[in-house]
Amino acid sequence: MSFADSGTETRNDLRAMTDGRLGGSFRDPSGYLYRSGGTLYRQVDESYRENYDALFATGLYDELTAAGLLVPHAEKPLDRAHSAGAYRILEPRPIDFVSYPYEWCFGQLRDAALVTIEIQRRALARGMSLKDASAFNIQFHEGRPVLIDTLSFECYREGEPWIAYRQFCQHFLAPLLLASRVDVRLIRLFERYLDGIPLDLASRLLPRRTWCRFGPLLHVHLHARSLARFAQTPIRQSRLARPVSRTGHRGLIASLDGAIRRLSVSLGTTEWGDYERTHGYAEPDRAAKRALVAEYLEQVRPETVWDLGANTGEYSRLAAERGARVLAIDGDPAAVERSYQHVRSAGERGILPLWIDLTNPSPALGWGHDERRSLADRGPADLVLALALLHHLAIGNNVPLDAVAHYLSTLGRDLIVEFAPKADPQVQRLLASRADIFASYTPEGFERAFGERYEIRASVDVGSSGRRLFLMSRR
Amino acid sequence: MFRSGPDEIGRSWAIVARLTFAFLLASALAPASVYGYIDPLSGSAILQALAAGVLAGLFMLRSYWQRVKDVFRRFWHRDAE
Repeated sequence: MSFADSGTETRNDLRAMTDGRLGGSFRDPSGYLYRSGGTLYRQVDESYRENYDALFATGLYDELTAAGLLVPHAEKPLDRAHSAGAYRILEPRPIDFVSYPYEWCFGQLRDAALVTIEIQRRALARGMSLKDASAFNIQFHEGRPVLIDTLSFECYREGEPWIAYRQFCQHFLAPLLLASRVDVRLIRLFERYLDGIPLDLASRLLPRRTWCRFGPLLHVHLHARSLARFAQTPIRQSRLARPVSRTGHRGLIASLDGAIRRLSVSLGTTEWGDYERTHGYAEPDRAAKRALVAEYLEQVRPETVWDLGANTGEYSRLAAERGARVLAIDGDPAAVERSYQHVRSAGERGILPLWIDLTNPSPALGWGHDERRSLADRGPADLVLALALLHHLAIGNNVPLDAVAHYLSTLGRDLIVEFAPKADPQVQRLLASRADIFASYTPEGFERAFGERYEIRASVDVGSSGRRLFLMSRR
Repeated sequence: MFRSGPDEIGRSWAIVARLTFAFLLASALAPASVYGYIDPLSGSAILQALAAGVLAGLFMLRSYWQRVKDVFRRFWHRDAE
């Protein structure tokens, strides 16, 4: 069983273990991912032959790929095998960017859960079952969640319990319940607990009233107790003499589905939730800024853009409309949620909103720091957008301007960056509650700091706001 | 607000039923002492076996209820035409 199979090809440079195997997939005995000559392959081992053949014989592969629920692949000649014992070599269709559940907003995790349930429902109907229900096995491709691990399926055996039930509850139901019933920021617990939120922890954190709801009661509270009660009891045959019928299995899936569909979060008014209405620009200046950003984008024509501090993604969309694949990164979960809901309702394919705090970006995690990659390691992008961001890092978070310049230069080749002087009302708001210790935060200080790392290609004042927009390229 | 209509009575019964179910399952699952080497899957499998009957029942009820609703919906639509 692997909960770790998150690597399918990214167009970015993937770090590989020394022999070409990728760090995220070593736990699965059925096969693994490796890179050879710049292409990502998945080796299916002989031990998985029966299940792999059944995936096709039952028609499940065709059904799931046609419905966009499973990443399709091409079979390649066996002489490309990475090691002995290979049964098939697959080349999966590339995924633009590998993101992790602790970088998703509530809606993304909920959609990933519902897709997993839908796949299990269809698999059962065709006599197969998911042996893994890891959130890391779901990736967002062109705006929609899709299963990337072709080796997650096994033949269903009448009467057996769902082996991935606990994993599903830890990876999906527990964090979604905590987000919905306690606080949306608890999704971040995932970053500590890479195999999902332990059910006893979730059970402790959830409010008492959740004991009165059937779904949370059974799947989290009683589940946690059962795991503790039978922790050192091997499954004796007698205990399971009363097996889980197929209808019981379908009932379990339906119950999980219902429990998740009932969950929602209110966006409320967080710090940024309604920024679009309260940001620092008068309407003509805003139009001028949009026109300038568009003009710079036309000059650079980037394929990949990382929009840092994207808020609800207004400028990400300018880039996506020009054919770029965009990460819309923001530290406010409500802004990311709005951005994602817009992606879903408008069917946008080019934008992936992610909830990442730039002052503490996703680190390298897991075994040997090699299972989950840091944000920077999944780059660099062609272009970084840093609009209305600098003053939050430099003044709101005390990061020196040259340190900001250095970090941004590691994330992308070109940069569109906005500088707001101290007189700007938004900067004044930040300064209102702190002593002004930012002597070098001046237009000259900014150009000096960024000039060391970047060549400034263009700079234009944004209307009458006093702000200035720069286009730069890394030296 | 203080009157109990049929809905409220139904709701309280549903809560009582859930809590009874919770109590019965919880007493079946009273934790034993915990050691360092754990079998992570037994508890999950046993819970499924215990709950499978209820889940299967609910699932059947729901699909029958759906069928009844479909019949009425068809009837209603024919009426409206």
